[in-house]
Amino acid sequence: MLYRNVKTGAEIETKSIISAPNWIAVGADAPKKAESKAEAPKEPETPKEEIKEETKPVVKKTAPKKNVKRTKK
Amino acid sequence: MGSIITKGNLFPPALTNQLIDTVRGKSSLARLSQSQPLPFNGETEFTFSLDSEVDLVAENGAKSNGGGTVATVTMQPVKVEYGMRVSDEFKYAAEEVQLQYLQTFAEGFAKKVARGLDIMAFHGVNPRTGNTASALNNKNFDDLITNTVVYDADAPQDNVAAAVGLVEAAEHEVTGLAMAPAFKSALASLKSGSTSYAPLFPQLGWGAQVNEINGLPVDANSTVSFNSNADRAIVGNFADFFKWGIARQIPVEVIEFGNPDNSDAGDLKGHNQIYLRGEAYIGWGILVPDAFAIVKAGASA
Repeated sequence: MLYRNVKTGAEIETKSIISAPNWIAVGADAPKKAESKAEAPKEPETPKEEIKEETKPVVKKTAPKKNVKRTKK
Repeated sequence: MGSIITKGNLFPPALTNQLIDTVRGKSSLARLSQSQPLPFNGETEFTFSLDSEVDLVAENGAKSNGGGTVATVTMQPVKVEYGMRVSDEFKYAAEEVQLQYLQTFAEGFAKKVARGLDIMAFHGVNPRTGNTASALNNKNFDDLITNTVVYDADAPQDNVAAAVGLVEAAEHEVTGLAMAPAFKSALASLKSGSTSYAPLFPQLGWGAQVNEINGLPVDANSTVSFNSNADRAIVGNFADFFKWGIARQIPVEVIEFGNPDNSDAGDLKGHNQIYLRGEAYIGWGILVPDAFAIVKAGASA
């Protein structure tokens, strides 16, 4: 299994299980080079700010519906 | 009948004036690292590191702060003691045949101190009781080392390689390996191939004591897994980042009065006994915890 240090980027390929701060298991079968290339473009594709903006208007839409029901009663 | 004289039990065995020392104990830490003189009041070691790499600066370019970290590790000596009661009769009888019991006690005490250093520095427990000692909190490997590899009895060589990888990933050298007997036997039972009976590490065969494996200084010691501890091996830079020393060693003392072991056995003179006591103040410091990794049994990933 390939382990990667999220802070330093160091990698260890081992059959053992590592439990250490900042070390995460990246993948069991994928070779090192293929993983690094595949993960690199993911970072710009997932802008977290845009996702948050999309969810906020949905909440606003539900609020006026409640008001409409109240006016009918 | 009495016509044939036989030896039977007529002749008692000859008395030797040498005690066979069966005290077992040694220190892996003492073997893998160097001791240094330690003041009785303790010593503070400074650790200094530069946090980033050098900066490439263009002509007329602005420079940036690289940053550095300074930390301290205090080596505070702790007191260890071993004592035992001896009857006056034993003392007189031993002196008559020149039995070197005092020297043997002193040598045994030295071995116990060596073993005690390992147990306290590895696990932070009182060697006699096995209980956690508050004075040793965050001064032992079990508390400080966060690099952990899960022990696999079928692949101990992979465990070592992963532990070495963790240490080297932090840009530290590996100068030694302390391993539990179970870890050593797991290494010894490895074969060089799936269809081969040839051992992968023939130098470990049949309990042989080895000083190095694959060029790495090693020491096998029951102190690593003392008191059913989960530790199986400790890898790291013992030479540079583990320091220990003896602040004061008091010669073996022969006490004739009082109740020096605070026991129900009562006053020494009241029972015609003497008390042999060895005492020492030893201290240690783990300067850089990142420079070590532990292979642990059952550790969660």
